[in-house]
Amino acid sequence: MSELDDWTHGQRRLLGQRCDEGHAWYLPRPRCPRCGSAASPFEPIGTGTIFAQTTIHRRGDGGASSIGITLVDLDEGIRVMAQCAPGTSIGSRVVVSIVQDADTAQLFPYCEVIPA
Amino acid sequence: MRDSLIRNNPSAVVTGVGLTPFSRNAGRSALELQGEAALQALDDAGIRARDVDTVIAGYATTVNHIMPGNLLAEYLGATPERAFGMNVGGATGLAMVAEAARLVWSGSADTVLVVGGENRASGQSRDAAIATLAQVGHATHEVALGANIPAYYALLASEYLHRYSLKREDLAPLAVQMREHARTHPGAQFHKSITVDDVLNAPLIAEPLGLLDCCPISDGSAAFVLSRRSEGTRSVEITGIGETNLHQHVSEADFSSVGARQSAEQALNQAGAVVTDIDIFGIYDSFTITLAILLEEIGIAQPGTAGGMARDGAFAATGKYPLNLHGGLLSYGHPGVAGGMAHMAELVIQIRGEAGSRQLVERPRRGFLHADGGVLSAHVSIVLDGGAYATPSTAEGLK
Repeated sequence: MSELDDWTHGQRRLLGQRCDEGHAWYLPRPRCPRCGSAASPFEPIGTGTIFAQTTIHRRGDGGASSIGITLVDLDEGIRVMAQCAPGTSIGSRVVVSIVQDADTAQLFPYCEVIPA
Repeated sequence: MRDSLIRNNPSAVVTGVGLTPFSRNAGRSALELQGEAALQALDDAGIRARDVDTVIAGYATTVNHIMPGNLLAEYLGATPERAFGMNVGGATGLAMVAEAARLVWSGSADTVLVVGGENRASGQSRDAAIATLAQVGHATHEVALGANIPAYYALLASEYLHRYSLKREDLAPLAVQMREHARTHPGAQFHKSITVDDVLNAPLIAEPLGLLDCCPISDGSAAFVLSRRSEGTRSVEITGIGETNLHQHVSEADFSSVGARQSAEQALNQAGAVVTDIDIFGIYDSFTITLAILLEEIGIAQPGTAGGMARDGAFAATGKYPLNLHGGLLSYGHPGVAGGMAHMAELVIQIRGEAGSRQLVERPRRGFLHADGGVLSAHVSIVLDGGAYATPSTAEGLK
């Protein structure tokens, strides 16, 4: 597996990027979006804080369902979109890991609240 | 700023306006809708399609044509020097007008036709429309999680309500006010009054946003003709434009400064105006939260107070900041590119004094427009000025 293969490429890992100037970001770029210097990947620990959260409600032929979507500010200073339990509160301490949907085999980041 | 170097002579004047009703099913194709609004605008300007030297057309999700400007030009019988399309999401309409103004200011164009329109509601399934729109999210890192446009804006809304310790009922008055405006406009998609309780009791789409916090998906079209200086009381000049693009994806957005402030300041500075000089406003309102954030960043409302101001009537026709008097995206409707253009159509009509029963008692002179595309990603602001006219026009324009 290459250095840049993350969950979107089917690898079960979360990746961020950072530069020598200390900037860090999440969505993959060829260079640092702030200073333009070289980018290198890193694996964040996964701990962070819920910054924003929504619960999407779907009503279809298959009945009603809901999923939680959140933006998590990871402790390394990058913001990651992840699924979460519906109704997870802003400010909650969480840990993000890569999980797999049982039906579709799709990998995605999922965050769970760290018990206080 | 930079644009001020080339503005002034010649001036860029809105000389023609076209706006169709917005609805769930117009019974026409995207091109037919575009043609209808375009011909209204050309007739309003008193010119023929052959007189146009530039055609700019917005994207249509139901067409996805690679040459939308040329497609429309041929359909109308126009043979322009230049024709092109634009894709800036919901900001496309005002971005096309800004580009048209620059072409006129620079002397490159004399007469520009700007058109947006599509059968977004009837020309595809609701699921297809939502899936298409979700693509403003990041294909692999956001869309794959099951997120969609309401969810992206709901993330903004959740953080906004948390930051200011507000509740859903503090955004709801914005939806109620837009519906109140739409009630008397025959072209609006919705005419039935709603209350704050109706907004709160509507089905939840993406918390904290419910159905009535969200604009509908509509069919419809709008068009403008921009020309070099033309005299007369129906002329409305573009005196300021501003644009800012700080991010594409909500994951990358700075929630405390999305770009509206810079865009608005640029447009107002170029026009030599401040917010309190503006008589009428047209602000993009795809969701209640969109309107709240934009009103606050632009400086019309203090942080956290936009919904409260709506509750107190500040955005009514009789209020301090008459806003989206046609009903906005939330209640006039939203067919994509034309959605943000309807705000401008209403401002031009009001500044001309041709709004009929909706006409502001004191005919407005200066108008301010703002639209965003994506997830508060692309920002365009425009200042309109009707000049120091003496007597209201008696021309029968759009009602």
